[in-house]
Amino acid sequence: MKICLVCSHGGHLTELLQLLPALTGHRLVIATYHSARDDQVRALAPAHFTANAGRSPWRLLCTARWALRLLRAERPDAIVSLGAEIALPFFYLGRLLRIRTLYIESWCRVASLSLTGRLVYPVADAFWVQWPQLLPICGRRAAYRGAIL
Amino acid sequence: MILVTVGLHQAGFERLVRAMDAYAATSHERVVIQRGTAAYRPRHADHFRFAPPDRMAALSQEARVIVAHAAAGTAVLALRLGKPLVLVPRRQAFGEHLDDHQQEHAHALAAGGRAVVVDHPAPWTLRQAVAAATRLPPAAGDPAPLRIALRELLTSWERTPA
Repeated sequence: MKICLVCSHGGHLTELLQLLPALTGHRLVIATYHSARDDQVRALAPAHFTANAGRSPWRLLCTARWALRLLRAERPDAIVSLGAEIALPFFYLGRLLRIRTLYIESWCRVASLSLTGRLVYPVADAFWVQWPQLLPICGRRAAYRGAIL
Repeated sequence: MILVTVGLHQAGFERLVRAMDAYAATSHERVVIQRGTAAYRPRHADHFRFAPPDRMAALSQEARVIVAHAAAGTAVLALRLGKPLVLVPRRQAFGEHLDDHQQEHAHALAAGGRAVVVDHPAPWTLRQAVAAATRLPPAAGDPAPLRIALRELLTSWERTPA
């Protein structure tokens, strides 16, 4: 199966690296932000980079256009993300393009969900959190399956 | 050596950078600060803005103690290496993050005995925390259950295409 891994470049990427051993046997493609870690990312799998969107709605729109081109070219079977906002366009486009999506809330989220998490919850096929105490404040489809550490 | 990291965040973390520079002024131990976008330039500690992952890994390996903002990056590295970890949460009120989730994360790790939290970074609070962190037994959680769950989910998706 071809899996598109989506993450921003800092801690979210580090969290994703902890899960790579679970993905052996699948074809991977990574979508992330440009940073000092570009070479590290390229060494893992074919990678696509874009500028950091942050909270600018205009740049997030540019990210969405980039994401659409990427998904059309790569045609992944699934999208997996641990955040952050770079995941937003991928999850909504994934819904439209009938690509399965898994969102894992960041390990840093203990008592509240991220804005990205709340926004992708309605469209994600699976939604996991890394601290069980988050479950009572999540929707019923959320699940706890363990943590990266 | 004490390694200080504030991650790749767009917002600066001036409070931690300043406090650890003041710490370095009165410490015999070398302090290395990854200061990110902080405008303040340390005068007593060695510092740089960002570094590639292999350099961050080498510095983490060399460090006696790691002092970090309460995010995933360095904390993962520190706990995997079994290094004493001090966490200083970024706060929304100081424009250091979009909300206060780092505080919740830091205190949850502290409750599990995996890190020491400093809410008000200053040379004396940090000195106490560094000493306390070195007394914690090394403890890293097990990522295996999450990896297994991920593998199982992907396998089930593979069997039943969308």
